[in-house]
Amino acid sequence: MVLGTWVFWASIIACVYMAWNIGANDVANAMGTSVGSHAVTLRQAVILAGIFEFAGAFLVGGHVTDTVRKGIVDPAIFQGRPEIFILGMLAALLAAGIWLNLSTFLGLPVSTTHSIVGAVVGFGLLIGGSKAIHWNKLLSVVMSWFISPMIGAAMGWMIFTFIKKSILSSWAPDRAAKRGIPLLLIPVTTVLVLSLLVKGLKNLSLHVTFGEALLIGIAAGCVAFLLSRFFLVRVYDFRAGRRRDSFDRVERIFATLQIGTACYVAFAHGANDVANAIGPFAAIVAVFQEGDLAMKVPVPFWVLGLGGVGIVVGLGTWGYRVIDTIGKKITSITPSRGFSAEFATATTVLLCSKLGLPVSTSHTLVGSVIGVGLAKGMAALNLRVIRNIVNSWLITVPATALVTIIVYLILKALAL
Amino acid sequence: MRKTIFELFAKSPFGPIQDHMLKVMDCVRLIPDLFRALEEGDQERMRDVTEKVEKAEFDADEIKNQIRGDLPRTVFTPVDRTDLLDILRFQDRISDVAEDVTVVMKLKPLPFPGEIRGLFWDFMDQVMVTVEQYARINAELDELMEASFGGAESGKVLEMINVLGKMEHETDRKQQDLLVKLLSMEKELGPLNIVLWMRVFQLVGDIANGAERTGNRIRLFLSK
Repeated sequence: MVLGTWVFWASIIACVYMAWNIGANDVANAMGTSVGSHAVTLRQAVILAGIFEFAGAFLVGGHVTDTVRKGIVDPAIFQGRPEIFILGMLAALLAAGIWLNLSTFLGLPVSTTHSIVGAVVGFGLLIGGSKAIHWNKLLSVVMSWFISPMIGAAMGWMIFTFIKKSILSSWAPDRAAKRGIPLLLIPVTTVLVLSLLVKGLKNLSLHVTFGEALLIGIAAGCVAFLLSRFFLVRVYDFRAGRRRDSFDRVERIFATLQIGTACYVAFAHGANDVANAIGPFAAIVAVFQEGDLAMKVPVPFWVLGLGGVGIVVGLGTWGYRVIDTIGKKITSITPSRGFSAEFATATTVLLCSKLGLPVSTSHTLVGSVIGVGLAKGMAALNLRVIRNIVNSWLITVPATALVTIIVYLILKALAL
Repeated sequence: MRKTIFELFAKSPFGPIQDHMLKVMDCVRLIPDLFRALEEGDQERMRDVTEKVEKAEFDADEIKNQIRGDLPRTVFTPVDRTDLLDILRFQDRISDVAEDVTVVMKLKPLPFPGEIRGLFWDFMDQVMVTVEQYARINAELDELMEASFGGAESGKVLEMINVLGKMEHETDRKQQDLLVKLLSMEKELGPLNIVLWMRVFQLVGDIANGAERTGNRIRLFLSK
């Protein structure tokens, strides 16, 4: 191979930089609602996010990474000229990072996911022409960007409507919560465990079939029912009080549950978004290892770990400030609403991760919050944000594609 | 700060609408003081009370304008945005009417004959009971939001609105009795004073009418 090792080191730096970016800016989207509703403190949010972002990236991050590194652009096109493929992937990584910084500066709500997909497509088009792109896969990715906020909205609506009907509508919401919350925890826990088990623990060499996972999930749901029922009846000793206090007590229970959904969101976010940083890098590593484009190799653990560490460092050095600012800005969300929106978001994102679809966690969250709003759960939502998001979709993909082409031409002049 | 998806969370209008009503009540609760000062012939205190009413009315206006500014058309609320703005307008109208009472009282020193005092205070108290009932309904708005405008909380508020309607009806009846008494004193008071008192009764009665009208708007929020 004609490339110097500096290209490899440059790739590592670009990858860590991208992961740092995700940790610094994106994680706040996952944790903001929990901090805003005072379910967790800033300190707790940073610690939980650190642990669960890493776990998600490490355990489930591989599926989406595979899509980014070989699902959208057909590597077979570059058989025999691996250096071009490496430079292209490096260009994609750098371009996505540049675009993210630029759009942060311009104040656009741009998604890291859309940036990296746009960048990879741009490189594929430049080198291989339109035949290098797996159009079917790209179409399913783009479709998922529209569908994931809608699934989020539908789930957010359903969960909040259940909470409303079974708990908040009651004459004594705190007593209704003793029945309603354990019931709610059966499907919630089942879905949670199921989504962790199915295709998730492959990296831990634990193989479970869907049927087994379903059984374990339902069993976990029942355990959650019994445990929460026990705690709510025994530990929360509700004396008769004013109705106002009754709502407060219900919200306090949801604040406890929201610690769980906050972890779940961080896990799902790590699982989906780590690919934005390590997808192109994993492709580069595979070529360096094999000498050519043998695409059968799995994503190495150390690459997933590198992405996870990058996210955690970004969170620790800059992200906590963003979480703090956002948490202070959102005051109109209470734990029952935050719980509904977060659970809907995390489940949707994790489902998409399992299917290898890179979706935007923050856009899914927007969908879920609107779903809760449609069930009359939110005091005021500024729907202008939707327009900004759609605008940023329309701009991001072509813009990152263009930046990638420019960066690639510069790299090519330097390296070849 | 940079723009994020969290621009999505707009400022809740419900707390500020409650703040607005608190200011309106500050204004309305001064009206009985005005007539107590008249009863005692204390001109200075009447001027003092009038100033306080004007100040409270102005503050309420400020809050109203602030809320309107925070509720552009792109903001999605769990209840119809135009209903929210109507409630705000109706609430604000209550403090406007209260201020109008002080305006009429400033025109000319009015005689307050002992014969109408009893009926007048009956009427005045009933107006205050009615408007306080609306204030209690308004104070439920945050609970209604928490219960997302349905279920038991909604039923409770609905019942409060029904009570409000009965209270307002009672106000009308007392206003009628008071008017009859006033008109029977035409000789002693003279036509000018009669006309001015009638205007005062009308405006004081409108405080209760306004409270009922605003309460009925809240009905539109409630789902069964």
